Amino acid sequence: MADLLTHVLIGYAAATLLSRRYKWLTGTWVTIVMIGALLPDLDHVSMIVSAGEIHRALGVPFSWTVLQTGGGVLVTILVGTVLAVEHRRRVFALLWLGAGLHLFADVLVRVPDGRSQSVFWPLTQYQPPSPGLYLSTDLWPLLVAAALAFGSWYAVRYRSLTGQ
Amino acid sequence: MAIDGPTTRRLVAVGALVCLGLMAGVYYGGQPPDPSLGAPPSSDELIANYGAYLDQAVVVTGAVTDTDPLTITATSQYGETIDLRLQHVGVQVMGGDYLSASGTVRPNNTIAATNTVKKPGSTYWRTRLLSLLAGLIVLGVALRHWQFDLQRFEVRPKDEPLRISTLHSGGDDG
Repeated sequence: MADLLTHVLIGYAAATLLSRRYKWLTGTWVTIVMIGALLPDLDHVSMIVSAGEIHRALGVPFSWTVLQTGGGVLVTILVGTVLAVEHRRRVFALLWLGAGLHLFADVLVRVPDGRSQSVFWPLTQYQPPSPGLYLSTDLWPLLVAAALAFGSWYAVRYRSLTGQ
Repeated sequence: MAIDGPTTRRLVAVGALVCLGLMAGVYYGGQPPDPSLGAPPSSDELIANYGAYLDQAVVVTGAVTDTDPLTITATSQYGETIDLRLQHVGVQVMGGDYLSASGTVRPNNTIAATNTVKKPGSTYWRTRLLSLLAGLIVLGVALRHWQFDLQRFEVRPKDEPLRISTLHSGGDDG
């Protein structure tokens, strides 16, 4: 997967560009897309409670990687949706936008067998082919994401602030 | 403090979703590999029963612990490790690099690699720092625009986004 900053910047850029079409998409709602971009990487909770600890404590198989599947992401999005009492539809859609962009970017990462992750689980374990666009440690995706984020900020926020 | 009906329902709903997520983790963790769907065996399966996967395609990932012969230490999702010798790797590697390899399982903990992807060990901390920075940025904008009402167990947008000037004037009043 790409680093998390790349995912967050892509989410910011996409939401900011959409705000040209949807005037209600202010910074408050761009934030939700950025949070959505974080969700598939919640599997890093394994650094606090590892899958091994759960496996040994409960005697059942367990994997935090489920949080990088479509089903796992849906569960985390539903938690956010339940908590956002007055704006559920909007929060649900925007979290999906951020998380969906993250999952899509991860499918593009170069892997040795040319197959990415089980993003459609639990519908299917199928791992789509990866075009192998970049390594997870490459810097250029971050530079592209940063350029998109800056460009979208300039085109939308800065120009609206200065009345252009 | 009395908890009203809607708040109780939210607590129950979130609790149920957390349980659903954990159950999904159990079910996903127990799924066997399926090469026909592009989900080949990994080091988890080799650690559990190496001999069962001889002459099968596998994808393994691990840190390079020796370069002659090229050896990686792969770690399962449960923290168990296995040392694997990789053959036919066409890239220069150093100790500490991370290698992902697809290949065929051979006897004596040997993988005949057909393709490899190398991640230099020097990029490990950079990636971690960038991810930490991302987390801090998102935390910052979330605190600026949103608030969590613990009593009602809900999140809602702030009427006015938090500004540096607001924080500064708040300090002066103290």
